[in-house]
Amino acid sequence: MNRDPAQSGGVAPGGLERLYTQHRAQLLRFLRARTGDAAEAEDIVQELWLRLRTQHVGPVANGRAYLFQMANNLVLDRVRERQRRARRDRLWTEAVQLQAPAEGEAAAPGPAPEEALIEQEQQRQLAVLIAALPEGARRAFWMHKIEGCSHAEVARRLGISRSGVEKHIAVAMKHLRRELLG
Amino acid sequence: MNGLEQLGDEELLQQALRWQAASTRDDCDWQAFTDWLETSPRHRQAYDEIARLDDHVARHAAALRIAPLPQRPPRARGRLILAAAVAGVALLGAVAWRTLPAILGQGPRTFVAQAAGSTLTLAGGVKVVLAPGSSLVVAGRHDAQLRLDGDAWFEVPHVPGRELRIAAGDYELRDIGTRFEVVSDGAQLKVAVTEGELAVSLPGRDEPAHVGAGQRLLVAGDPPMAEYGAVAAADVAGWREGRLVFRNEPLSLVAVQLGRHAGLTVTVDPSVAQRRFSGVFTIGDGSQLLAQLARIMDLRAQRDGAAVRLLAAGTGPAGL
Repeated sequence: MNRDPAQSGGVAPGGLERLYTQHRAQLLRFLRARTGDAAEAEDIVQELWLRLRTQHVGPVANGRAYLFQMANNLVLDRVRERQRRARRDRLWTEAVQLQAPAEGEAAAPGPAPEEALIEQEQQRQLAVLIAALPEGARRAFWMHKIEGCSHAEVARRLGISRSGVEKHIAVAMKHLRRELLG
Repeated sequence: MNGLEQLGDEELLQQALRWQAASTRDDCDWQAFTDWLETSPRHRQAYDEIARLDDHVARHAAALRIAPLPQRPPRARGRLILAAAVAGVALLGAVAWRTLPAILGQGPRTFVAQAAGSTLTLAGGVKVVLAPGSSLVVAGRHDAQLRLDGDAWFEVPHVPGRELRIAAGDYELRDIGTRFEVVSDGAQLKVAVTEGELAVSLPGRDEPAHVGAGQRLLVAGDPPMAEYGAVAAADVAGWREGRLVFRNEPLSLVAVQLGRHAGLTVTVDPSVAQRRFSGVFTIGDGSQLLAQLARIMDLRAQRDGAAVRLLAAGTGPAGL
């Protein structure tokens, strides 16, 4: 959840670059294991370096954890970017196909904001899938992933153990994985 | 692959989830995480799927937080009533409307708007402008319990200790001092606030959705979903000045609003109900509104007495 570990205390500005040099080999090994692609791992570790050089990062509590989390987030950024590009290509193809047979109708509303529509559709789909989850899984998943409660907080609110919460979340993720990733 | 230590899917998923949770914490053991990922391509794949899912959910979490949960159809009504019974308040309100007013000497009053709209002043200086075709039931002590059917503009001065409650279709609004417009039609709702903030109770939700100045909350669709947007004060309840302004509103909601000004009951075919419309209408005598909408959105209007159904052009029987 915590996407921005740059909160308070710890490593002074510039210290991250030193830490990077120190942990580069480990970061690279992690990225290879994470992506399964040596070339992409190299790219990402380079990108990480560039960001450290060019972006202002506030004081960081745990510099090493920050670097690994940043590397892990960069992997996801790339996945997201690839998905977006694939979607854009598909929409473009569909748009071109749609134009051909249309009759000369006037006053059609302007081009629909496709990205916004896709966002809405994804949101709707997710809401329907969550509503269909088994009751306990749905409640635990909702509190943890949507409302942002910790496992301990969810356990307290539902009156169950933390491992019970983990099991509920696992059931929910399993359902969603089956529906969304096939 | 890796037959010897092949984990069951269940266990693999649990581990992936545990690493997903750990990777967001400062005390994560990245060395051990790397070792785990390297153990088998299945581990990497399981983690990657969980991370992508988690990211997908996280990106929509804020929007989902305020959306009413899609209801499971057979239980929807029952749950709503049950929720009211648990809260105790809404139910008491309903009882009060029927019995207590006689004792208090203040019965519920129903106001129905004239063709050109009506302005009401309630206890405590609450001003309500009702759009044509709309009605308002006023009850409770200090006129604090309202039920709206249709569209209205509210100006609610802040009175310490007073909370105004407005039942609107499937929803309830709570207000302690704001200016806003409500458009209500069963499961559909539009709330646009120009001053202050109000809370909207959504079925199946513990927490109400808050709508602040310059914000608009739309609830529409099947299942109903909520979305926030921005709104300009000049566009809110524009019908008070003879125009209707729509920005990216679903056709189903646009149609009922136009219908009220035209004196017609409008339904929209589900195939086009969620198409979005932006535009400005001059109301005039209201008779041209639906024809204009149909023209702009390429729809066909089927009229049967005071009822109109909007369909995609080229569908439905000809000649009506």
